[in-house]
Amino acid sequence: MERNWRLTLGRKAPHQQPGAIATGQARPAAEFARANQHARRVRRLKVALPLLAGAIIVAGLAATWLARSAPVDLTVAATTIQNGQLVMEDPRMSGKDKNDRPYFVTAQRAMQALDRTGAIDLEGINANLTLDPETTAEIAALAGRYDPKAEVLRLYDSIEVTTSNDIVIRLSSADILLNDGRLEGNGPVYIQTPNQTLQSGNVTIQNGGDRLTFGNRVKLTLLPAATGGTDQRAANDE
Amino acid sequence: QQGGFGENFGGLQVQGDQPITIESNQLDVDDANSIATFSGDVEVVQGETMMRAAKLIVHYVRKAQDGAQAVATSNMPGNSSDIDRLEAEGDVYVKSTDQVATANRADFDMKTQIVVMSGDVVLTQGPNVATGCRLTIHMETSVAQLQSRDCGGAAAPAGGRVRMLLSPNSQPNG
Repeated sequence: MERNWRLTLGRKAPHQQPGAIATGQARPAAEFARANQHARRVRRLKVALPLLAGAIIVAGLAATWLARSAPVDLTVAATTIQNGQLVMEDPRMSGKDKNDRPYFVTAQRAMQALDRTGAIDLEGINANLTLDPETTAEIAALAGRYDPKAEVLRLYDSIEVTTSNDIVIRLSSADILLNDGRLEGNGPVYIQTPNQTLQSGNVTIQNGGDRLTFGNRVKLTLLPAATGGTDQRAANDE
Repeated sequence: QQGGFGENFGGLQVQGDQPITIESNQLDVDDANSIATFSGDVEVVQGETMMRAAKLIVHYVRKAQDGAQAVATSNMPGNSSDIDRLEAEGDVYVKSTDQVATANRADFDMKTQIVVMSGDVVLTQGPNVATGCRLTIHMETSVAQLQSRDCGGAAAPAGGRVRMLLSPNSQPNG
């Protein structure tokens, strides 16, 4: 189910004249004053960086929540034993997370090794979480491996997180260290929110999303707020 | 004279309608304290204006969340917060169309729209060069004042006076 993300680039024609870089020639004071009046309103530099932090926190929380909440019920279409592995077809797991919000996780197949490790390989993972009253997130990963001993859930072969408020996050793989609530995502990391895009080589999310580190070259692009942006603030004219 | 040279330093004019890109080797977001730190070859570009620095610290203010304090994702996009101020440190280089200013640090106050570049400030426009210890730029009007006294500890040029070198046949190009 390949979801293509919508890059909304709504751009309003600024009611003020288009910004012109002041030219360099000298002007008498009066003309300068007059020119100054015509200087267009300058809108406050609105680097909505924290918006971006919010977006990334979604990814972190989504992943850590997914792993740590106890499944309420697990249904499996069919289980067979094949070459030393318990193969579960179309496992579905749903439940309520610690904030009593519903989630469900499905996979095409889950194969649990019957040896001591008990590691579970998953294929075609899809998870749906509610992150806060108004936001849900959907995570899709082609494959994953859960190692109960090390308490690490690794998702790989491209992960995509889309949230109900137009945030898309893509990673190529992520290790989620369950007990210390840490996610190490390797890139290319791509995060798109309504008016920002962030690309980086990797990302580490720690303690529930309070600390995020993007590494190996980061590029953040802040698009001018689209007219329809919920936080659209008219250029301050005071 | 000072007016013609510094007054049109549009270097830091913020055009609300142009995308801004910030690049760096690393970005650390400390959401608990609402600080984001870009470090390592930081480059900020918006239209004609470009700034380079070793480090850029962004202090943002999180909008007070009305109603119940939702979970940590309360700063979800949609309820935005604004940039309070920026601090650029380490070989700060700011270039606008035809003017370049370099300094040890630059502090941007988004509320007052004033930028203060301090420490070995060199302002050049074509062949003209002016040095001082503090350059105060009003982003909205792009009026710039270069000073070399009461620098508040910032490195001052020798002799403590603004020194300006104007090349005789240079007409600041329009």
